[in-house]
Amino acid sequence: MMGNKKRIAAVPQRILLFFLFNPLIYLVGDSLLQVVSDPSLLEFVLPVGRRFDLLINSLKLATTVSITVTVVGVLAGSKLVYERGKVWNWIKTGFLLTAPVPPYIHALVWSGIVSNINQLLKGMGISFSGYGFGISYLVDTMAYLPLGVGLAMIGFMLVETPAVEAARLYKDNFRVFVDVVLPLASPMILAALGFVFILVITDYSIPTLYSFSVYSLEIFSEFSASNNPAHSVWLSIPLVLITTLVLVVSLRGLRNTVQSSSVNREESLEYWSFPDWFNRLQLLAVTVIIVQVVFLVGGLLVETGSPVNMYYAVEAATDDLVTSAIIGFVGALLGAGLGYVLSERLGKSGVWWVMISLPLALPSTIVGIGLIDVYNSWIPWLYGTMAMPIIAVTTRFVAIATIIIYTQSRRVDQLLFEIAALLKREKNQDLWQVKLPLQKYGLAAAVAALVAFNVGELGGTLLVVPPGRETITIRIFNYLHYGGSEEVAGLCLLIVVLMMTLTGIAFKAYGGKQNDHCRKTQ
Amino acid sequence: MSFKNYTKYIAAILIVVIAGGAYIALNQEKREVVIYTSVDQIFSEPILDKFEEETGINVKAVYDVEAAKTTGLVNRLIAEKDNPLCDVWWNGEIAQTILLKEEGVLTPYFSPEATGIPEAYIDPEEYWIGFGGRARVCLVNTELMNPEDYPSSIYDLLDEKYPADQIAIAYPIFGTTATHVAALYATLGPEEAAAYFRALNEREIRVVDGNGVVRDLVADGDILFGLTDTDDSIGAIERGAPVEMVFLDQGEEQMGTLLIPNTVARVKDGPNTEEAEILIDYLLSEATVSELVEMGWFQLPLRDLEVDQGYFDANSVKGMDVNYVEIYDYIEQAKREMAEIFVR
Repeated sequence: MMGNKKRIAAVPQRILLFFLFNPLIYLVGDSLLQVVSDPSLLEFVLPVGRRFDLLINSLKLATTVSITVTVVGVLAGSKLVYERGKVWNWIKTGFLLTAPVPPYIHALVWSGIVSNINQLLKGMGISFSGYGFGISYLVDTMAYLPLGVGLAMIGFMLVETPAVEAARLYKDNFRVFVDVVLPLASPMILAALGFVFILVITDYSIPTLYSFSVYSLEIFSEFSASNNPAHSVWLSIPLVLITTLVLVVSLRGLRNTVQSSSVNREESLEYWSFPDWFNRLQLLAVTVIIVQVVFLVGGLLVETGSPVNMYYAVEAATDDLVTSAIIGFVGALLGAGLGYVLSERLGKSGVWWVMISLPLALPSTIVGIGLIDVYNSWIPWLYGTMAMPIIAVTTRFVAIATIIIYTQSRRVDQLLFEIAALLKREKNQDLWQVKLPLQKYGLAAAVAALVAFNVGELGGTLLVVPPGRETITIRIFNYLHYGGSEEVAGLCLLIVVLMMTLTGIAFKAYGGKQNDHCRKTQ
Repeated sequence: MSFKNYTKYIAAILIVVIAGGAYIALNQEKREVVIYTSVDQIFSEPILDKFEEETGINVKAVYDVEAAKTTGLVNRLIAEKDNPLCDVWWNGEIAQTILLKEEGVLTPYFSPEATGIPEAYIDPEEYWIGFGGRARVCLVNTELMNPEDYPSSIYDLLDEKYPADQIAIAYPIFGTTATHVAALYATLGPEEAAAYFRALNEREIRVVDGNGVVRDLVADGDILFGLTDTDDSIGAIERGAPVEMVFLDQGEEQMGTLLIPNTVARVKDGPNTEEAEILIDYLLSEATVSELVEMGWFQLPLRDLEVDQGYFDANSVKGMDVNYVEIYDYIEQAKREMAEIFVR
């Protein structure tokens, strides 16, 4: 009986998962059918010759960027999370709010900076290369720093205070940081490393902008030549395997870092005393992120020119902002919900690791084509509505939510969940009263990350957005092509300002509740 | 859970259903047309807004972006073929429109407004109509080059007197650059054309993300010259950049430059047939073409019109003598071979 009840309760989850993954299942099924009639398609799977060189280029870029972002993330994150005061809060908030700015905008700003520096150095006969590996590395690193630092900060925030306090009685601060804090924060740090690696290895837009050829461009150019998604699916197999491997390896060891969960635990971990050389490294990392914010926001301000330009850009894009907000926030809530469901499955079967890797490793256009094939033919009443771009962003980025939630949930003592499930008096009582409260930070981080990714998504959204609707990102890319850098900068600034306002409201609301709670307990 | 607890959910669902029903009812009466367009939004949106104002027909548009590398809306149309949402396809070039015809996405419609457009720009079976367009051009930086040194042929890109890192083209596997390559395949033959691009790659000229990037590199003085489209070039000229357009291979014995017409077509089984035809007629009208010329999207009206874009004499530009269907036939081969050559 209990088994039947459980199966019935799982039906809505399965329906949701079907909605999410059926385009991918369709694409894989279609690719398998095509290979039966044309086995030569299997040649796409092996990266040999030129494709091998492209894969090496991709690995080189993804490895260097992800390691740099992680190292800066650990150094800057460990400084920011423990520092108090207005200036530090400004640095933290300002930096993290640059996360929703699409990588292409970072490219716009940094290309301009490199070009200006070269103009200044012209007389001395020195110049920085405006194309190739170097600038691709710089732009990707700057674009993904907020993700790396943000996740590292969450990792440090969730470190168990009593364990650290106990260790501090016996060892000096630096040893405690290395031997206790870092291992406890490592799941989130490794998750950041994995994410950045995957986001870089699957992106062709930034390296292509700087004439650095990568494997994902090969997948896309084959699709452009053949218009057959199956070719791209087979070509993307090496990336799917690498992505899955990176996810599994980067999240290995989560089971060994079980901790309980409490609020504001980091406060008692202030006043660290580190060796001078480490302090300098931390300050250097913080300087890097300040440079990132100042150059990005400053570049956007200079490019926007005047408030009038910004006013016109915003006036033309009001409807697009509404559409982006709906897709961003509804998609984030749906993605976090599904991520929660999937995170519970990740520990049970390896298949799910591959399933969540697939939409990340495939070019967004291919995912979009899969969505059209399935929804336009089989579920036409949903096709052409705002549900489609929401499903598109959820399909593409649910992996990110899943991993963030999984990472955090594995750090909570699983015994608490088991006891709650055993002692609950009503259906889902354990979910609302134990599971969700203990995982709220993971869920909040997942929602925040998804909003940023959803708003910036382009390839999939473009293919399924209902006629008459447009996202802010589509408009930004249209202006970019036309060369309207004032409008682009104005809209990007607007996104940053809106994110700041929303975060401010959230902090205010959360702070208010905390104060109420404190007053009540007094 | 008691019924009382369910009431708020039922009320919420009812409100959503009533609001949705009211919204649908209010919008049902209004005539509408759905258009997908790869034409830059900055040019197409004002035209469609004006159409809406003049006819009262609500236009629902989906705009393509350069970043999708022409695989965006074309693939959407192919994928939607059995249950189309779109009525009209307005393309900034021609090869992808021929692909859509081959894929069975389009249906014939001959607009009365097409009278006066040369036959070369109209599909013999009337599936699409070409109307005004752009040309491939070499954009040079006038501060870095003297007029006597300007290149005059595509073969000058191989000339050692121009440093390779001072020349740029867009990736020849996407967009109008890919169409240009296919046109060269059709004109020179696949072997000679591929050998030409292999030589360009061996010279290590700069291959960048798009025609817009070529334009910016020339305009910023980062390179001497590059191949791009006339509309991109005019954007730089209007912003006051020190650049000039040079049409290549214009001599008597030379092949001319590629002219790229816009194309418009009706989508097969699109939901709004009558409105689609009204919109196609509107786009093809002399007034709209003249407006697009004045806006800077069209540089070549492709028919006798008293309109001057003010940047060059459109009648003096020698176009390549090549059949667009033949260009389309070479597209896939050209893209594959260009990927082999340049993506490494």
